[in-house]
Amino acid sequence: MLRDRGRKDIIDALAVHEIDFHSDWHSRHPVHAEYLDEMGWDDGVQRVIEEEAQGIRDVEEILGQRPIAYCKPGGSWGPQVAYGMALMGLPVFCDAPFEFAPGQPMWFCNQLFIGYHASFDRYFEVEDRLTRMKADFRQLCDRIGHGTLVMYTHPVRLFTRKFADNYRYGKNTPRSEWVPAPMRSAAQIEALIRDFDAFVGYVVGEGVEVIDYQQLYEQYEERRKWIDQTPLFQLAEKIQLELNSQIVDGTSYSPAEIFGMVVFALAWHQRTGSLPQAIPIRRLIGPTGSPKFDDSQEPVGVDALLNRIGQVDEGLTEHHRVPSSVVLEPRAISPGSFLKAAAHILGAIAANKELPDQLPLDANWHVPKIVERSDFTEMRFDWSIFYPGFEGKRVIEMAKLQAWTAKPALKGSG
Amino acid sequence: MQLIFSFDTEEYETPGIDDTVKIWADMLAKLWMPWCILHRWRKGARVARPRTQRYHRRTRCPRN
Repeated sequence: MLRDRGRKDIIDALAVHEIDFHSDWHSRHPVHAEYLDEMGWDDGVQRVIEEEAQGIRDVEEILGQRPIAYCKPGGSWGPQVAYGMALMGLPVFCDAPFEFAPGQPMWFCNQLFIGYHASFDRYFEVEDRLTRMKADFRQLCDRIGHGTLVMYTHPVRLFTRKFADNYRYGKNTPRSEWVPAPMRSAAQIEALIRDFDAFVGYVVGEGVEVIDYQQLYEQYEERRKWIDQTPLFQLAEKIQLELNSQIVDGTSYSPAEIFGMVVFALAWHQRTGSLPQAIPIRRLIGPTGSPKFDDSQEPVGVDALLNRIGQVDEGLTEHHRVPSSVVLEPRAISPGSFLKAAAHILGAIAANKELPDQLPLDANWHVPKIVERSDFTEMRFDWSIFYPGFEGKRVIEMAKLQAWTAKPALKGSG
Repeated sequence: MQLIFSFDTEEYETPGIDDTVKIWADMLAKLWMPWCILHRWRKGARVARPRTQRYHRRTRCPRN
């Protein structure tokens, strides 16, 4: 629109800033979560790419820079959006629905997730605005500590008293019937600009390091492609204690990545009789289908598991994801139980111990531990733009399955 | 601590709304100024925003 309206002055003013991507159509229905709730994984990722690729291209062409971050529109998202954006070269997900800890980003679906922590918006109607903003900012600094604080606003709200209602509650109001948002008074606008400008000056004066998403990503980017045997054995030992992300030598690994490495090493051993010296870190995603497996604790035969390991490894290479279940005739077991048993076998091989005939299965090892956190257990969709009654249950289920990809982002771990 | 200012721009066909983007863009351009210019701005001087080149505020002040 800026280009079409001939606002080159604005495009020039934006040139000194990083410009990211906020979706092509924002609130137009069906929004991401609405259509993803009716879809599976692969068709969902495909639709995200089809609907958003042109918008990313438009930003690059008009603003002269390729976006590095995707900021979700309002409360609408789905794990397929994160994965699709990563595939399209946007490695950062801002305004993320969760992060590892306040101000500490998390890897999820191969994107760096960081949330919003503060806003200008909440001070629009506040008296003694500047004083409050400064005091709240100091408190937030203490809470975030050495992390990254993200402060957002909607530029449009500098002029408007509220958002427009054209897409609220599932409406797709035709453009000819759009109703503009009500405006603020000139005095109000002037006061807001004055206070916010002073606040920016205050922040700079406090010596806070202001960065952009590109700089954030460079701090956390993971460049490591392989690991050696020693960290692999440590990961195999740790994952038997808890199905969750693990940290070894200052690098974090998701359960999906550990699954891939353990399976790769065992498949290699089955083929060659020795363990590989270097193990690739495959950035696998979690299961994408509803799990269907036998959750009994009946032991599993070690030979049966090892005879199957080559096919499991090929499946990972072909589908880039942890399987929903692993079939060990006559039963199917959960990928979590399979990983625990496989890690145990790997540990025994590494220690030159005799392999048992059978291994017990842990029936509780279905999903990574992180899904017990409140940001997963209480995940819901409550944006006023959604269709009335929208719950997004299928999106939430898919997000929980992708907990296999969750791990803390660590600086300089690449 | 690090700070990121993250602004969500949306288009609502409200007359004059484009200008809000420019106001914020100019306001935040100070964040990328070299220290010397920033210092002058904080002292109340009117300073020109770098038009095309993005300076980080920790960079050395360019010679005039």
